[in-house]
Amino acid sequence: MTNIAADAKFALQVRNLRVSYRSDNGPVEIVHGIDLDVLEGKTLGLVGESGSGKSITGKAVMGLLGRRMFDITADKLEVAGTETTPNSPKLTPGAAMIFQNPFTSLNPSFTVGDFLTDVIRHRHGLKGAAAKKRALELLDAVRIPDAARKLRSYPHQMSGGQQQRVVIAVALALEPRVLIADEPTTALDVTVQAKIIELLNELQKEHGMGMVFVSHDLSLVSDIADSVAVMYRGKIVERGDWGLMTGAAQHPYTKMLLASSPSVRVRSQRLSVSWDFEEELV
Amino acid sequence: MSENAPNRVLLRAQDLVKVYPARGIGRTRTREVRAVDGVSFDLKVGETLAIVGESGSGKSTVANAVLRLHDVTSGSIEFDGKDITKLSRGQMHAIRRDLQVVFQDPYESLDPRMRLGDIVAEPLRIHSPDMKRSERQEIVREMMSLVGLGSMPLDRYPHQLSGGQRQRVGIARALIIEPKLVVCDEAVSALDVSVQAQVLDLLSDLKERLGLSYLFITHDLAVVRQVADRVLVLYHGQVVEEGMTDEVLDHPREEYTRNLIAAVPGQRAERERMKKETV
Repeated sequence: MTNIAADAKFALQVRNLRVSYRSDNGPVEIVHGIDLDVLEGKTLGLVGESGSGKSITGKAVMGLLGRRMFDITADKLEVAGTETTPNSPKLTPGAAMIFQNPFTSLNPSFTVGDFLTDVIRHRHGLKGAAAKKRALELLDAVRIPDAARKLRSYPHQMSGGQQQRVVIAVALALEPRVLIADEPTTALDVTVQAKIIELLNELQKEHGMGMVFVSHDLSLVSDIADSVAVMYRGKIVERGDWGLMTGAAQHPYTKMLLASSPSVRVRSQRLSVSWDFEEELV
Repeated sequence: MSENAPNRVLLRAQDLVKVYPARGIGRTRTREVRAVDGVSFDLKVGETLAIVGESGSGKSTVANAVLRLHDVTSGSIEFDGKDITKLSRGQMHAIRRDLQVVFQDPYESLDPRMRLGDIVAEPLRIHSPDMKRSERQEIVREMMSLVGLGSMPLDRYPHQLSGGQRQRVGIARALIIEPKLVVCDEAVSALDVSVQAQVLDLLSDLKERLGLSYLFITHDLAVVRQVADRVLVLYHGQVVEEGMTDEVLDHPREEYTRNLIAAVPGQRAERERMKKETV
């Protein structure tokens, strides 16, 4: 990266992150030493297909991978200037994460208010009315109308878009410096997706947090990301600014992904590309 | 008129209505849902018609009605000149030979306890029970190589396959009895982009080679652009807009269609260019 302003601060810096899975036949490395840089207020799009290691990378940064099953090492894992040890039993301070399916992220037997105040109590030690007031502020922040009534709602009474807004509110309660969004809109309709993306962009501006946007959808990443890293088989094979997703790509894998993505604007003669570059990557 | 004359209507839906009745009592009572509310369309021989809409638009209900996986409340569905909404189970059996389906989830639409060879051969066993085993085997082999799985051992189980391979098996199963119409209900939505590309290309190759017609149910307008000749935009169970794919996507007439197209991701480059041009 060349044109970083001198006063820009990193929300997240990762150097040489490696993740191994402890299998019965010894450790298997699935993420092979990747570097991530996310500036405050900026978004890094982490793209790849299933099995590329993009979600594992997100979870490893968040500190969500169980230490019984995974071994994580990194030369550096720093959120907003604070160094964290990978493989620690605690979640990475300063980071928050949201997932693909908002319904499974929420507990069906708790109301939205219970869930939010729980997080607020744990994080900020607020109780009773103070916690409720903070919960209301958070629901307002994610543009949920009629927040006071929604506090008493259960997840199943809300639409998918509203559920994802609640999940984002919970993430905001942690006051993260970096938000890891793992396919947060994949389960949603396109019009709802557009609104959630808009919300994430606005929240980012308001709070200046960095974001790692993990997705298989190149078009979506080109819309939301400032910079892009393409993952394949546990490695970052290409990185650049968002223009990478609109034709500037050099790496054969990125080019293949781009050629395979249908566009709403033009019909392609053929979409599929042969995989003859596979050998050179291994 | 000959069997495969172009412009011959293969499937005609008229005024389809599907109402799910109210359920429950007291506080838990739900109102009746008009999932499909007066949908009509024609699908011609050799054509791909896409039905596009968001969740709850009724697109899958239309697909299930065409397949007669459930009955419509009112309206008619004419397939190959016969109104299939009134047919008995036995009469429907004969129709199903010409009317096949590929489902969204290649993990759930294949029986995990059946071997690939048996999965693909099953429609043949049902619709041509007198066929010799050796002959059936040969057709299965042919079909598997047609979908690009020629070297796949037929004694494999679905769990030994990748998602893309499973979807190919689903396509082989749908096509083995040479249907006239294939309903693809979100058939590529669960696949990785590179695999989706292969399956979309495969579907268009097979359409050319076998003279198929597709009813393509999808939420993805980019997929519509890629595969469909004509498109039907559904919203709240009603047809909002209908026309040739390029016409509808390039010059949408309705506000709803315009918003739907604008919400499709990947248009930042165009937006920024337009911003520059207007400044």
